[in-house]
Order: sequence, then C-alpha cells, then structure tokens
Amino acid sequence: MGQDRQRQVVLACCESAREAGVTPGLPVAEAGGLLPSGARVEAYTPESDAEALRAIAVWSRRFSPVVAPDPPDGVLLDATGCGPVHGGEEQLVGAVVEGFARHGLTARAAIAPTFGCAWALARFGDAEAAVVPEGGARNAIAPLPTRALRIDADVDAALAEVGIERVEHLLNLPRSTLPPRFGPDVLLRLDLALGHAIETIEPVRPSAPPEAERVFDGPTTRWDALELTVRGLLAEVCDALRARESGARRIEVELDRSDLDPTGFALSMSQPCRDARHLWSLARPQLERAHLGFGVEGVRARASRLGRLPHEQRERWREGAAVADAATERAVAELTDTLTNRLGPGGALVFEPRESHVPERAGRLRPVGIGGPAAQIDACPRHDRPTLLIDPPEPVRVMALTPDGPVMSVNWRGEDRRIVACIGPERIGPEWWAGDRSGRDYFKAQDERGQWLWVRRDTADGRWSVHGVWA
Amino acid sequence: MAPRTPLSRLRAAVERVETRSEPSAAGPPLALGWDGPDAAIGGGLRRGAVHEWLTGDPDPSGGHWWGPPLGVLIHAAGRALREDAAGRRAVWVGRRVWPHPRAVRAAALLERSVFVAPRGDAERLWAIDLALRCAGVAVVVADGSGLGMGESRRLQLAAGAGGGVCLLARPWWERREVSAAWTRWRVAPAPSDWTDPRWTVELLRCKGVRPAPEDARRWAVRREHETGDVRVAADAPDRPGEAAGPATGWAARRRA
Repeated sequence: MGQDRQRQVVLACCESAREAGVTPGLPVAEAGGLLPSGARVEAYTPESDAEALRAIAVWSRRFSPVVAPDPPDGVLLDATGCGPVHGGEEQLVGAVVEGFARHGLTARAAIAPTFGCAWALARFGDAEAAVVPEGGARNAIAPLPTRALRIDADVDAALAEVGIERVEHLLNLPRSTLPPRFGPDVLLRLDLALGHAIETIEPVRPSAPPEAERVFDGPTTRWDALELTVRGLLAEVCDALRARESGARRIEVELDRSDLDPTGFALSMSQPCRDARHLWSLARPQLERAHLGFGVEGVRARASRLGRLPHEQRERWREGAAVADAATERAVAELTDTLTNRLGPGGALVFEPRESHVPERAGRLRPVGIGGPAAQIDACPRHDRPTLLIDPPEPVRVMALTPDGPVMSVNWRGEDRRIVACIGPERIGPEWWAGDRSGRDYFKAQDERGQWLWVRRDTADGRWSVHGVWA
Repeated sequence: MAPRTPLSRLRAAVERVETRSEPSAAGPPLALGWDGPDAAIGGGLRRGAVHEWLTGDPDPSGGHWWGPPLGVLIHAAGRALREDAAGRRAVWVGRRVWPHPRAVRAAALLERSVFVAPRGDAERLWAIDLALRCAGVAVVVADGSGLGMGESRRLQLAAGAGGGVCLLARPWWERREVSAAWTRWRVAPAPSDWTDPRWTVELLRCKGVRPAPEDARRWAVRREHETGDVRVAADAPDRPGEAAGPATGWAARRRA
C-alpha cells in the first residue's frame, strides 16, 4: 500500500489477493472490500524493502559468487561458469526457483547472455524459469513488450502512441532514427539487452570478518602494555562475533614492529569459539615467544575463519543432560586447542577406524577437529589382540619345533624366554593393494613367567619378530 | 549422607582423623569391579587423585624395557567412562600408554579417547597437568616414568582441582621414588594354563589405609578376551604341580 495522488493505493499484493480481484493501483479502500477480514495491509517502506532485497542477494551467493540486488524487485547473478556446478544451466535456474519456493517466495528466473535480456525474460517471459543460449538474445526478447527493456514509463507511453508495442518493432527501425525520436535511453537499453553495450553490476559483499586494531603512541616492548592490548583486542573480536552468533575457528594476530617486518601468530580452534579468556590462554604462550624487535607500534587481531555458534542464552532452554554434554564438549575443545597450539597439529589425536586385518593398519589417529565427526567404531573384527602393539616389530631369535611351527623359545631383548604355551598360527594375508609383499603367521606364546607375547613370522622370508605384548 | 546428630558428626570427624582422609569432593570412588581390591581401598579408586601402577622387572638390567599394564589400565579407563553421564573423555598421554585399538573392546572408550603425543618430559608433565585440570576429562592415563616427588605432588594437586582419576604407569625400578600418589599398585604377569592373560595385582600402598599383610593384598586377575574387562580370577585353577594361591607368579620366579 502506498500514497499516490493523495489516495492510498495498492502497490503489490500476493497471489491469493490477486485471485480475489485486487490489482496494483487499486485504492486500498476498494481492495479492503474485496479481501476477507484478517488480510494484512502494510505500509510501503522503501528502506526495509531494500534491506530485504540485500538479504536475498546475500542468500543468493550460494548460486553464484557475484550477486547484486536490483531494486525494486530483482536480484542479478553473474552465472558465468556456474552452470556445471549444478549440472547445467537448466538445473541452476531450476535450483534458484526451487530455493526461493522453499522459503515461501515466488520467483521467476532466467539465464541469458546479458543482464538486460535475463531481466526482460524473468519479468515478461512465458516460462517461470528460462534459459537463453549464447547468441539467442535477439530472438528471445523480440516478442516481448517494450517495457521489458527497462525504459521509463513515459518513454514507453510515447512508443505506444506511434504503435511500437513490442521489441521487434524497435528492432525493425533504423538505429539512427531512435535517439532523435525517443531520446538516447531507448537505444542504450536495446544495446544492453543485445550485448552491444557492456553492463556492470555492483556485487554485494558479505560482511567483513571481525577485526580490531590498536596503534601505540610509540614503539613499545612492555609486556604489560602488550598483554592488555591483545586481551582488549580479543575481547573486542569476541563482542563482534557474539553480535553475529558466530565463533572464530582461526584468529590471526599481527604485530607491527618498528624498522622490521610485521610479525604475527595464529590461533586455531577445533570448534568455533568466542571466549576471550580461552583465546588469551592460547595467545599468551605465542605472544611470549614473539620477537618484538625494537618495539611494537600496533597490534591487529582478525578472525579469519568463522563458524556458527548460537547465543549463550539458547543453552538455557536445553535439557539438563544436553547442557552437561555441551559443557563437556566445550571443556574438551579448550583442552585440545591448548594441546594443539603447544604441541603442534599432531599433539592431540582421535581414533579413526579402518577396515583392515593387518594390526598396524587397524586404525588411524587423526588430529582433533580435522575431518568429519567420529566414525562408528563397533564394526571391528573381534579377534584376540595384544593390548600393546610393538611397532615396528622387533626381530627376535626363535627356536621352533618345525621351521613354521609352534614356538619353543624366544630370545627377545637379550633375554631367553622359554615358551610354555603357544597358540596359533593365525595367518593374516598380505594386503597387496597396500604394498604388502608377505603374509604373516602369528603365534600367541606364553613364557614361563606368564607373559603372553605375539610372535610373528613372515611367510615370505621366514623371519621372526615380536609384534605385541598382552601387557 | 549428612550426619544429623552431634554424636554422628563427631564419629565422622574421628573417622576422618583416623583414616587421615577427607571424602573426595569429586564423587564416589571408581570401583574396579574387583571385590577384594575395592574393599581394601575403601570402595575403589579415589577420584581427584593419582594412582600409580608399577610393572616390569625388579632390576633394570633387562634392557630397561617396560610395558605399562595396559590390560588393567584399559579396564579402569573403560569403567570410568561407562558410568559417566556427561560424556567426559579419557586422555592418554605419552605414546607408550597408547593401547592397540583392536584390544579396546569398549567402542565408547575408543570414541571418547584423546591421544596426546608430548615431545619431551617437560611437555608430558604439562600435558598431564592440563588434562587433569580439564572439566571434560574423566580419566587420564599417562606415562609416569621419571617423575620426582615435586612433579608427583603437582599432579596430585591438579587431579584434586579437576576431579578426574589419574592413572600413571611407572617402571618397577622407580619403586623407591617417593611419590604423592594416593594408591600404588604392582602388576606382574602370572602363569596359568588358560589362554587368557593373567596378572597378579598387589596393593603396595593406599593413603589412609593400614598396610595389610602380604598375602592379603595380592590378587590374581585375568582379562576376558570378549569384553576386554579384567576380573578377579578367584575360580582360576593354577598350573598343576605348583603351589596353590594367588602368588603363583612370584613363587615361580623365585624358583627360577
């Protein structure tokens, strides 16, 4: 609803209102009579429309990296090269329409060689989603009304007066006659739609990552000043993160040194974090190690990788057990972050199972926070395995009944062990795809003190080794 | 249970003085599921405390090699996580105490384990201390070799602050080293005719508990292959022709 010559008129309406007979331009009083009671009539506010359009443009960045809002009611996407990602341009345009439909919005979309052509087809074309191939712009816009060229309403009216209603009529006129008769705008718009003139758009940028900076009066090497500054910067970044309901996965701190190159360090977190105290505990050892040179002139902190982290208050609504779990997860994340930041990425590891019968390949330890969530671990074969795997296996001298038979005695680490019980062999075939050349026979052997050893014999060369202990 | 009358309060106070121990603020003790040992140390391993497990040869001449008693440690860590409702973690500090994953039968233990690889003794101590102070850690299993009294005291304080159970594996030749640990155990392999590994577990020391005579503080335990649990092997028949009793392993060594 909006003002038009002292009357309140309908500017836009939804599909069901249109079915009831409401059309844009109708006085609001008349429209109210047509609509069932309870229909919502809202005042037109250009600012909130522009804001919503910008939000839609930001959301549309999932389809293309270059997106611009096109007021009042459109969004322009530079779809060059984006088709193959979605399996083709038809699929892309379908995905756009479908994506808007999921949010309850009706959208019409078109992909064309020029923005002008796509603009025209999306508004005046027959199909909800259209794709114009390269070089097809002229044919595509020819049957459309002249309004589809984005020309002013009074110019359009002037064209209509002389019987020019469709773009094809304009195309049939000599180019040189257009500007003197209808103004320069018509020819420009026509050229834009046909690709004879180049059109640029101003893409939306996602908001810049949270950043904070302080500049000192002069170079300083004072620890207390630096500590205070870095803590302040981290708190500032955390405040900015809180406003966006996100947390930092990585924070870069840069120190501008006088007469030297800037130095810096990075904090990496396994889970999104915006706890200034935890960040400081990670930053402190790194700051202590930083070489300050002749003094630091300025400090900058920037959250370069972000992750979603809901507001703290949300947690109050969770169940008791979930709160305890969340607290545990946070505490563990802080622990692993601190470990990784001091010991390096291999400092804190979690287990990832693998399907292999070869004992040393039964799983892999991977750094915390890299890769997906922990896999299901219950699919392991339930063989009897030693608690301690000696990797790499230690060669031993073995006395056996037959060359490949039960073990009689083992000389391991310079100590002769008489074997009183021996179970086996358990044969594990070579995994040729992993580069194994030899299978192994394993014997579980008990020495006279009661210690069980896992004695291995390579089937290819007959060499013996101890591969594990039931410790 | 809160004492209600002055007399019962006094009784509890006297008991605390006698046993020199406050009840742990971190919750009930962690029962190992072994009747004898649990009873001997007041129900189980005290939470918020360090427990040392010694293994290996009496003299260090045997190549200085020692393996931590992983069978028992896996069992204790598994029990600590099994009864933990908040989903807390087990942290294994030092490559030496990382178990072979296929020997860990409890999938939950493997899923909720963090393995830490410190590069030196100082980092190892720091990592154990850090893990113990973390609220999200129920049990820390660590390589405790080469720790002096000072470090041991520091770990005991860290465990008290965090409330987790700390299981330290140490070589037997460090038994003369003074330590602030709450309990101290010795685990030695025990021969048997059975195919499951067996050990003799001996309680060397427990704070606030009068030392028992030698026979009453040794138990035979065995590892069940299917579950990975370690149980008291009360019904275990011993090797024929040898003296009965849980101390078979010791007797055998003395004879050898």
